[in-house]
Amino acid sequence: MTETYKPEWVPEKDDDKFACRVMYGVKGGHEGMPGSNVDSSRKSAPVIKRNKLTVDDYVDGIIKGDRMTLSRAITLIESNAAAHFYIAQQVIQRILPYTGKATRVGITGVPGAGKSTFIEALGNKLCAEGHRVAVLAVDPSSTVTKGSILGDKTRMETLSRQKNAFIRPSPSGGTLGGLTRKSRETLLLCEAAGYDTILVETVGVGQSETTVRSMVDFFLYVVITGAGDELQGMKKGVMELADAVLINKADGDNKRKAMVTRAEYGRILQFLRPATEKWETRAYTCSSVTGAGIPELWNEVIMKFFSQGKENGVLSERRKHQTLSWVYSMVEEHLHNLFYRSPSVLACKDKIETDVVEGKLPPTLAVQKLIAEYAKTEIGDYVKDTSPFAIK
Amino acid sequence: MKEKPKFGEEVRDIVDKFAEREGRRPRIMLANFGFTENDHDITETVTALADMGFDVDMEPWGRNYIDVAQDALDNDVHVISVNSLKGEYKFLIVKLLEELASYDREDIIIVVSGHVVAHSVIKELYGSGASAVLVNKSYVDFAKEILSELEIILF
Repeated sequence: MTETYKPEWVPEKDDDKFACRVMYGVKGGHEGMPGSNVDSSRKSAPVIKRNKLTVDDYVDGIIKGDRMTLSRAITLIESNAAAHFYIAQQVIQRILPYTGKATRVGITGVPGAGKSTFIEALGNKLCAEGHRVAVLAVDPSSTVTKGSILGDKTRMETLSRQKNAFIRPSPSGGTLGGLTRKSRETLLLCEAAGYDTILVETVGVGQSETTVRSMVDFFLYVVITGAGDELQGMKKGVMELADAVLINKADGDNKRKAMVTRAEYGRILQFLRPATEKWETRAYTCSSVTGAGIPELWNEVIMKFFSQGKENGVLSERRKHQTLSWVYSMVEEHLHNLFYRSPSVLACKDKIETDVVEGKLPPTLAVQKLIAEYAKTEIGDYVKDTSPFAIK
Repeated sequence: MKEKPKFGEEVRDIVDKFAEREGRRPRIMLANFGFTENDHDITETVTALADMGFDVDMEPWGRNYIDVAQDALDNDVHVISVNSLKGEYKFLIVKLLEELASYDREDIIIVVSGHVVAHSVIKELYGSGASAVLVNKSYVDFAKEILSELEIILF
């Protein structure tokens, strides 16, 4: 018999005159009912601590081409923690002799241009030819919540299954200007692990394409039809950086339009200075879905670029410049860290911020004040503690 | 001052602290094992987690556990989140844990983010190795559960 109780409206003195009784309802946790009778606080998942790798482990694993060590080394490189930075730099230093042999290609384009799908098609072709392909895809982090959505693998379904392909999506967020160092060092790690073709993918919004340009040999700009007229392309920007412009989605009904767009871009490119010396930037069409145009682009354009570049020394010259720019971007990053971690800046930052917000202090004066505070910092002590560049 | 959106504010603080110690944000991979394109709840989960400050990796739908484990290792995630309309969660959790163990990476935790889970099996899911189950919880509580678990494992 289920338990019942008398309703609360039954008067106490003559409750024997009321026969009404109420049955208790179903407790929470029944399917479809709110609440739960499951004690979710207990866990039986085993607590297994993450094993720590030493510099030797990292270096040995990478040179052997072990994917797992490579992926953990990339994590180490991407880490913003000062403690990780020191180990990461040691790893980089030791793998440097094994780098520099790969073909580095950067790919950019507006969101939805089909970069990931293009990489899927190109990567599969290269893997079939016996190349080892590493794809580094940089996705933007939210500036508000700092989170990110890394969806490139959803477009690279077959490529991510290939044994010879390594795909690593990375969030761009975190440190300002840090992207340069991180992507470049990630690229070096992949080279040391034996990948002979590195594709760096980035969304063409703002700074990132310039950053990528400064670390790759060949830079491909992926566009689609119907995105503005000739004048849009004339604007200074990514067009000047590209070694080739690729009109994607040239299939089916869109093929005709793609040819027209190609002609338009061809006309614009005549007036632009090529990004690479002794190389003529041109527009090409392809279809990532049918695969048309992709083998031609790789064999006849990109490979020709590399053989020509090696012959006339443009490529080695470019790599020298890139190493130098790497140094200066690291200097910038270091200065950035020094400023924001400086104790004297931190001490007065809040007050200056409120003054600026309340309108008591003009922003230009605030900058002067902050820099003056920073100049007072005694570099010696806190650099040793906070700066990853300091020698320990 | 920049105004922060309200949703997940409390979690974002925990995530920020986590990011400071770990050097990166908690990274979670959402794997959809179902062979349907009916993944609207995955879209919801992705956005919710990203809004709380997670780095969210999305997997193509309809993959098997070997591929997912490999991708999780390649991306070096902290958490694999399992989602399937077929509901074979116990099998997937056990297999994924085995697969990760063969690479000596059992520190990657597994959670269940599917919405279609019978309440009576939640206990069993925890028993077979899941670290958090989304059913019956808000996203905020789910994220908190993941973070407290990571706290134990990583630090």
